Amino acid sequence: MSVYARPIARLVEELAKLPGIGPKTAQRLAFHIISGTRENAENLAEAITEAKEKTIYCSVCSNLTEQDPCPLCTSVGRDRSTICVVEEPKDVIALDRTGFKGLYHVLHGAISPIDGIGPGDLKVKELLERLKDDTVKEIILGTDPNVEGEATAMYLARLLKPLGLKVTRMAHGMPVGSDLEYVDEVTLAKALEGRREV
Amino acid sequence: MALYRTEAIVLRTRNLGEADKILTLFTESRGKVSAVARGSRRPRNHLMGVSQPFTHSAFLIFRGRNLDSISQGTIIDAWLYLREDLLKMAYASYMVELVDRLTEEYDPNEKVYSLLVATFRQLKTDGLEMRLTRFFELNFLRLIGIEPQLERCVGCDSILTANSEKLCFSPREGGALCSACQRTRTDALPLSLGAYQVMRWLATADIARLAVLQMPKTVEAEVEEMLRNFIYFHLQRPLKSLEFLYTIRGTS
Repeated sequence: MSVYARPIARLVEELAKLPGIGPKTAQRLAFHIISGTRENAENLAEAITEAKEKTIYCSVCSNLTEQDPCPLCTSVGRDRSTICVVEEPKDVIALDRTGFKGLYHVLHGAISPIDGIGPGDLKVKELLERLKDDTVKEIILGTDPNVEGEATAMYLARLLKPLGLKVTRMAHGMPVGSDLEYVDEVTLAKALEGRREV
Repeated sequence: MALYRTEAIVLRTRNLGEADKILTLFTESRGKVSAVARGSRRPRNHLMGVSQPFTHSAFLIFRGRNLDSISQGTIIDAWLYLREDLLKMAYASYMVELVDRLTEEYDPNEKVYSLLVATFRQLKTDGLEMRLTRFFELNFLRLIGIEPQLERCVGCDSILTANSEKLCFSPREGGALCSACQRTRTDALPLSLGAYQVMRWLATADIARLAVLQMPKTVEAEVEEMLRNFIYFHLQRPLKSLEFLYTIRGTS
């Protein structure tokens, strides 16, 4: 028999399904919610339902959005000739902070053969669909610089180059503010390879 | 402090929490080991480089109660060509998945470790990927004790030679069958003499001499098919990386 009252047990169980939340954290969160105001609890519940109900995939860039097409895709101030391809919606947020003015395409994952994730599980078809007219001139491959991201970039490059587009890959190199001696040899080799004249 | 030092190849990684990864390693001294690489998803973390699949590194690992955790790691070889060539990456993925699926944790097998390192090293040579994979399969299966029996008929134990008439291969019985025995079996696959000889040669070949083997495409495909059936029989599930391998091979 559970020592929790049934509604609390249910809440703990649901919270524990979240990533990174173990049974102890779930219990702490559950008790925090219960001891808080009714309004706070209702706001949280409502926010979860609303986020789940109202977020959809943009039919153009596959990013998460409330309206379709998303504000980024419909914005008039953006450069429509460049698309930056990224793995996750989080990456769009990070890239947009840099002031990048082009459009995005979210793949929702990266190729990982050992996990059974192939090109068919990513939003590749949707990307090809966007390239049918001549607006897009350059594709920037902005997948992560790890084995999965590299494989995805290589696969896309092979697919897109024959279409006559300029296909570029984001640079690999040393993080800003780092110490050279602590940078691993793979990154250093890539940084040397991609050096440029100043 | 229960620290141990070992060299290892990263078979696979999966994310844990905010910034950590669990690495499945095939170590030289302890066989397959799962270990946490704390902080390895943060930029500038010193474990980031060694936490990439396929990477060959020297590790200092802390033996935990449940899960080991990586204290230090230095890359020995990152096999850059595996990251720059999709086909090589697909074959390497298949091999690490095979090792991951067919070995148990903390079951030391130094020879499997050496085979994996030697195979990854040879993968650098273009055009050898396919036969190297067959070589790896046959030798790996032998090292874990489930190699297909090729010298003698699995039905009657009679010695098979290259002159034997009409051979068959039975994944269920675990090897080649002579012409007399296959009459009583329904699930055996016909095995051409060429494919039989190639399998016997690969099982004992020196990895550095694989390039000398002359093998027609049809035989190559046949050997692949035999071993795929054999491995499927042992796993009872297809390997996930195979689908990707076939996609890449089909388009290259």
